Amino acid sequence: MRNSFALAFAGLISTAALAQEADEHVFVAGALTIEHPWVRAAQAGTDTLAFVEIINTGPADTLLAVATSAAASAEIVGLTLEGGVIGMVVVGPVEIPTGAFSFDPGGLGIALHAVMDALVEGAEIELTLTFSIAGEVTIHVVVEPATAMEHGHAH
Amino acid sequence: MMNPLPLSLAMARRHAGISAVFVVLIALAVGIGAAITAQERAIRSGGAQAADGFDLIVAAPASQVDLLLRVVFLQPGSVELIVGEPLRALMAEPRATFVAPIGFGDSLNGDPVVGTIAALVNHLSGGDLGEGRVFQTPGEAVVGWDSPLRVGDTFRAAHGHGAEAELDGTEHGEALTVVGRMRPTGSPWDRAVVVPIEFTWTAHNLGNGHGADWDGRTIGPPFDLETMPGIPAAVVAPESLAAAYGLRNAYRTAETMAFFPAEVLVQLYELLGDVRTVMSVLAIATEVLLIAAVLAGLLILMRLYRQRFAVLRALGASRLYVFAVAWTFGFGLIAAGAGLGLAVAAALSGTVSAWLAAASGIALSSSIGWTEVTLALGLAAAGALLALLPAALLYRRPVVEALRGG
Repeated sequence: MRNSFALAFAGLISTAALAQEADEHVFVAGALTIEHPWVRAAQAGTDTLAFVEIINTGPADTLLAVATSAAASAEIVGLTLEGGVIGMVVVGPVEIPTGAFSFDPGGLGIALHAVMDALVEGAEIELTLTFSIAGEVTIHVVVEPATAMEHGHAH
Repeated sequence: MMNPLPLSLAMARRHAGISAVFVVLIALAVGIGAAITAQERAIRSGGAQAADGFDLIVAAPASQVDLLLRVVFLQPGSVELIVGEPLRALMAEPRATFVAPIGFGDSLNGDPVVGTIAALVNHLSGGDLGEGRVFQTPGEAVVGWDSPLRVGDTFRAAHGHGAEAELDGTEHGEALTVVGRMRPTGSPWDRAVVVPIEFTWTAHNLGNGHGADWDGRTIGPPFDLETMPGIPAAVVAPESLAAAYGLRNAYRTAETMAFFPAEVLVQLYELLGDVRTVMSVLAIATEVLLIAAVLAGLLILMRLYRQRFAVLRALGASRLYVFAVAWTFGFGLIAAGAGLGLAVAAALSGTVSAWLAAASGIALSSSIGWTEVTLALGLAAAGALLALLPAALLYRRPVVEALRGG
């Protein structure tokens, strides 16, 4: 009896610890869960890109706008290949369908123009996402190396 | 002050052999360095040009690089098939202008025979064909811009690719007639023979894609989603920019993967950029060593000349004139080498591009741009500074001592 209590207690502690660790990089807004936000390191005054994964358990939502105090401006952009030239274009509001949706280096990203202070690996910045249904949510974004293709930590 | 040029030129003529060696060595070093950057740029833009038109590629989960090589660059290899429910969903995708299944497996005299639908042929060709029309029955084919086949030619496709096709020796039953030629795409599709996907399916006994009551003539979508064979890949044309990102996300599942050619190219180019950086550093190191060697050569040459210059001084030439003659000679050699180097770079990267284009089927046009001109100008500027050294040495030498040969 004592043993099973002890086990249950230990289990509770570890679950709580995991939840707390996960909470730092998981943000909930209505039916949306925003995971693994990360941004590429950048020198002050330069542009960089941030990425997130969104799990939507509700009906399709729309990411209307992005904002941050860490850069002069922020907008939603996407990778394009037009006329033999690879570049990024501003794409405007993005529909977040039911299920998983990724902003990743091969597709959509959040461009931060003219970052205020240098973004150093390991640091964090705040990013505010505005959805049409879920409303505003402010997330903490981890700075990864400038050449990173994905979020570095295993979750 | 007198013009130092005639005397400098006279020195170059007097030592034409060694001067020419200096110039050629510098030209080769600059040429190789500049050719590397020019070539890398040509590969970047050639690759992106080739992938233009392949908006979104959907396939069974595998290496994106492999799929890109297979679909855009038509390299032989094996891939998994998209089958079942994911295939049905993809073929009925409402957010796409067209979903073009791709079928491989055949060749004709070493050139790939690719099965697909008319919409992709028109799309890759830029809206309309360069000659003739697109296929309308399973027995018709369209060829790429560089294909040796002509409109009106009739042929039989061979199963497999290259040596495999020759060993196998299997020719598919039905003969095909060329009815059109695509405009240049800058990709290996320019060498390809494009046939209706129904031809590929029936030739490989996979069914016809239209069910049991197919008339044997109608081709293209809509396919019979219940009986259509699995496909190695599809090129999807999204109806809008937003749809492109939506579709890419929607088909990144356990059964399918979706990617833009651009995202794979960006990763490949990063690798290419790293290689270029290493090679450029090596090329610059070579240039620095070479300049040092040329400088040493010039110093020796100037020592040989010191008595003659001393005579000039004794005859009344100013110190500055002697300095100017020596500097003009040294700088002239380095500047001539740098300028000639650009011509070497143009010839070198042109040759390499032509060879790579022939080997890969990707249209590559290399050109000497600002990067290369800057490299040559930088070297000439360094030459202008370095040439001061031997000149200064002559300038400082007392006339009497030099006359005595001391």
